[in-house]
Amino acid sequence: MNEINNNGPNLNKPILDELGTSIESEQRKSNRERLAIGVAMAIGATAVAGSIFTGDASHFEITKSMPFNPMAQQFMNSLDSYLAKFGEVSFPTVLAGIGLTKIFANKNSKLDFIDKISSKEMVSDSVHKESFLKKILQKSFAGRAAILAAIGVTLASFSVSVGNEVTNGPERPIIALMDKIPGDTLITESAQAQPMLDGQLSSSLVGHIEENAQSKGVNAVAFTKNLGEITLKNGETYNTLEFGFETPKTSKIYWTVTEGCKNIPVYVDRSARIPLNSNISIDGVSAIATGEINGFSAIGREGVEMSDQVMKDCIQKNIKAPDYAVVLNTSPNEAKQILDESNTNHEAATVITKSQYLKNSVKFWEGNVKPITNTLALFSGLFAFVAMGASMAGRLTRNKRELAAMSASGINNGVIRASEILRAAKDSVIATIVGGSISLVTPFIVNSLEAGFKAGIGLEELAVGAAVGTIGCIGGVIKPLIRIKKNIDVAENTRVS
Amino acid sequence: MKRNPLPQHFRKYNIWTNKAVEINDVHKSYMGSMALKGISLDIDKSSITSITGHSGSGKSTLLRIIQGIEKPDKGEVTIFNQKIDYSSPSIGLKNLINQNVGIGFQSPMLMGNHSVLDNIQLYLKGKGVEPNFPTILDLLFKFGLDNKKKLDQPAASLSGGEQMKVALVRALASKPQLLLLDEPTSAIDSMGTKNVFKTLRDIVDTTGTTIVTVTHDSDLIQDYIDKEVTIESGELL
Repeated sequence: MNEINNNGPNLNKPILDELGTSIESEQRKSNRERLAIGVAMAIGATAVAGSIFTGDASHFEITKSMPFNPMAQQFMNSLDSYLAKFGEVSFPTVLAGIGLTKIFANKNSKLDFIDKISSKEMVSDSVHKESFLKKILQKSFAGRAAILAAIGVTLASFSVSVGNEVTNGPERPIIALMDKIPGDTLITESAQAQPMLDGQLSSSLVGHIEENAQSKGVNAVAFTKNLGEITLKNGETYNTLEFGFETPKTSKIYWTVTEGCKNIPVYVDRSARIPLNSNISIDGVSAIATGEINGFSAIGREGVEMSDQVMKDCIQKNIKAPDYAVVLNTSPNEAKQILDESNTNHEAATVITKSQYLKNSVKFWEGNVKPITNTLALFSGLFAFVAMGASMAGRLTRNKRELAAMSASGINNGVIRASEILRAAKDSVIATIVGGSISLVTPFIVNSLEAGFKAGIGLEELAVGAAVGTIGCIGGVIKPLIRIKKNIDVAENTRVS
Repeated sequence: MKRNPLPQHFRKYNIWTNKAVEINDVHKSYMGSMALKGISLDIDKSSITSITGHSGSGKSTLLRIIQGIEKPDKGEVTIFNQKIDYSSPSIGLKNLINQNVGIGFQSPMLMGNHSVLDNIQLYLKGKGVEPNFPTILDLLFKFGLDNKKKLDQPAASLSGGEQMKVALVRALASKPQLLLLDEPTSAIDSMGTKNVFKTLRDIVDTTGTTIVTVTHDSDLIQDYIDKEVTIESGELL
């Protein structure tokens, strides 16, 4: 037996001394490294703080000079429709897969195992009583609500709904306008005409068009368009999309210039919620909201209708103010003929169809906004993917001993994989239902923030959410499951810890 | 003529040897340290063999090699005359014997969130075996787990000793021909240990099962085992 004194066993002293010296040396090295990192961080912190303090940081944008890529824009423009198509197939497929597993689980032991294991976490941090809702969920379907994936689903559906509204919302006033004026053909200044682009036809050209059309028995209606502003008495302002029409004397907005530009009667879109007979100001001209119109609003623009005469005399302040377009109830060919006969001064003017006018609007907004909102939808999917991958990795870590024991006891890794995939499939359905339900209320938030904005969640938006839920939940667990043998390491995890 | 006690699909492995397990010159080292130094051992059918030794002697390593969980550096293990193929991509016994070998670990390794009954029946179902509830209940009662309420409780709510007993029932529920247990009574008091081994003895005597168990202290179980082997520093004494 070794003799023990205060210095430990005498026999091992040289070895202990050597070991002690080695440990001390390693610790000194580790301390030096830590000191170097600390100094580097302090220098970094000083540099960042200095940059913020001097204001330099506010002008510093790393990605600002990234070049525009038209192919990427085209792909991102269509991403929501790809995702929607995928979601339309994936959601019912996943649901059917889960349903079939449950149906055949009564006849097949392994399917029974897969269904039950995938409905409940193997281990929990405590043995507290489970909530009633969780019990119901476990009995009927899955053991938990995949909240992070549900958030991804909500964000994806919401982003796409915003993108769709931004792209298609401006169609509303066009459709409403075109419904008011019979005819499918327009004469406009350019073929790219759409409400956000200013254009004009001179009053003499419009006069000639009207004369020629009348001689051919074609109805021609000219109208004026202006992008302006309403100011309420309390100072609140709305951007407007103003249309001026010829109005009959019986109309509430009939107006004669002899009365002067004071208290002009206008109709304002219902979405502005301006009480009837309110005194307002339109582009600096006093007006009264004598009535309402519906469906004339677009993003951030409240539709306003007034008489063509008052628009020219009071808003545009010019008796010979140009018109914006003429609508003809005839074919494009005859309209072209009328235009050619009328355009003796060779002004810039062309014939387009109503549907072309609509397409121009959609293209304008789509190119401006949709790639951005679709990128947000893509990020939502990536978020769900990463979140579910991390969740799966966490579950493997939590359950690796139980999984290792199963594997060692003869349960095939394929069966274990199948149960985890089914768990992910159940998560995806729950995430889609929860996230989709939450997404239904999200448009109210943006709709209340932006006048005339009418985002909504429909089947397409829900299908995009379902795609994000499926890709996120099932895609996220694939990688850890491919290497399940390595991840659960039977030899390592069946040892006593 | 002697009746073959093994299930039909298992008979192809059996050529009328009396040996359940044959261990031949097994070596194993961890990071340069020899854990097993050429162990050779035969284990008879329908017997209880206890492998004892101090902590770190290599007894659990030997059992884990028989279980197919660890791969030996050298040597071979034969179970019912069939060599374990450690080079198989699926290391373990599942390809060879599946439900005919029951395995017990040093800790219960139950799914704490699932009920006691689910822990047993789901293991069977995962292997494609339909559970026989009278058998499961009989085993649970034999091991003293006769409180019906507890069977529906999450396994994590049971005591350590009870959990070890559930793990034993889980290993026995498929009526294995060979049961490989690693310190099955480590969390059970001496009286409980005796009761567990008395039950295991009964099972061996009535079913012909072979049990190999690692134990820390075999004095308590001397009355119930057929053979005791001691390992010291990786060698059989």
